[in-house]
Amino acid sequence: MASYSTNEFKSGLKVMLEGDPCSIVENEFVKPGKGQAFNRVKLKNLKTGRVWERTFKSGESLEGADVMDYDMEYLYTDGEYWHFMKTDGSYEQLAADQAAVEDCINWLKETEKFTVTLWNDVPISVTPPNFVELEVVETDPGLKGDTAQGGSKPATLSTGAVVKVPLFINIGEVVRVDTRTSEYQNRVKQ
Amino acid sequence: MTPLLRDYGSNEVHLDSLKLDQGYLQTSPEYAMKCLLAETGQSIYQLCSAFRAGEVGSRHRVEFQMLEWYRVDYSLSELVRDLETLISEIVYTLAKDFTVSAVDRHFMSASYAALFREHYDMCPHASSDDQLKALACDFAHLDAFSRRADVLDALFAEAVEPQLTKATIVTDFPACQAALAETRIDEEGNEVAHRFEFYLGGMEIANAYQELTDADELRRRFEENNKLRREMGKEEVTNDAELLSAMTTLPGCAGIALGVDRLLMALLGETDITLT
Repeated sequence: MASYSTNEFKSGLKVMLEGDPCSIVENEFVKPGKGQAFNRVKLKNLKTGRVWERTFKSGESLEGADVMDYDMEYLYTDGEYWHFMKTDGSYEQLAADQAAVEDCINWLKETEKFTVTLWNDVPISVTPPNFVELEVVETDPGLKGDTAQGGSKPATLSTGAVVKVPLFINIGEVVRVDTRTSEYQNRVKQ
Repeated sequence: MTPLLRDYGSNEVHLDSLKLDQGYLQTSPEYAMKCLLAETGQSIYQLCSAFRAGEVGSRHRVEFQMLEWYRVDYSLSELVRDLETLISEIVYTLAKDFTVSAVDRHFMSASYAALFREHYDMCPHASSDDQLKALACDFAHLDAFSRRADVLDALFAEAVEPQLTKATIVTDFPACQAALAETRIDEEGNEVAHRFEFYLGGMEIANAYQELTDADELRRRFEENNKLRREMGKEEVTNDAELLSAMTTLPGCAGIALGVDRLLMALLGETDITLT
């Protein structure tokens, strides 16, 4: 893998830091007058999602990380691994472990398309689509006619996610949810 | 106007001149202006482009505009008054056509040591190299720096600089950052560089020296820089013979260089230097 010098750092570049693959979020060139230049860099650890702030001497370099994003369809879980299939026509299947699916485990709906991030061909994280449509499997009974008022109640969806929904939503109905905020968007007519 | 292309590049350890077949594009008009000043003995000013290889960022451009002036028999406090007058004139003129940030008529002033102590509770002059390095590791992962001047610069840039949003004069820099300024002994007995920097909007805008006029001392500093350049694996810079010989007739003077693009950034509230 190639290595990249600080002057090649730009947002989105994938590099290795402390053994983990990271994506560069921000790179600021700092040079005090006649002093030594350095770069203030924000990197997102692609395994943990945490953002690191690091200072590098200008001209230092980091090894590139072999990181690729693929669109993949979620198939099923065998309890230990979660299986996905590429949608590029190859039908290639890959198994992601618990750590990779942790952040989106409550959105994993079969046949739905996800973005799977591979590092050295192994899945390290799975990103759900921004919006998913899921069936309500558990919630308090709906209140007739109460469609305009505020008020909300928790509802458990088919994938296990719990979101706040309006009072008029009933078990068996399908709702559209923003996966980034876990917020209810609207009811989907079947 | 002094030449922008000369036979000699900057000797500064961390400044790299753009090198052409015919010579070096100047990183600032300082060397050439001092030669002229030594020849004429007159106060001079100049607005010109300056070039610094490899400096690209939101506050850096390879080519930028510098306003530089030298006053014979002038003190740094007189130079501060020049600057205050100039900035208020510029604000007044710009305000006719643009929305300009307000700048106090009289600038605040603080010593480098006072500002440094406020943030790090340590004296930048009296503390040892190791103490400063430990501080750099603790505060900002700045462990990549080895030279005292670089550690200090990085610490100052990390915590102090962003706070200097109002027009502020920072005086008495560490002696290891004297560049071409004289040094003096401050009230606490520490050797400090007799120079100031002007900050606005959390950025260094201008840099002023009570100019060094001692040729031997200049030669010593040139050689020290070349030694550091060698250690860093950088190309050595030929001693600027014209400047060295000019030093013998350079009158006592104070000089200042102001980054015009950055001043406009600060006054117009831009965050990217390419927009000015």
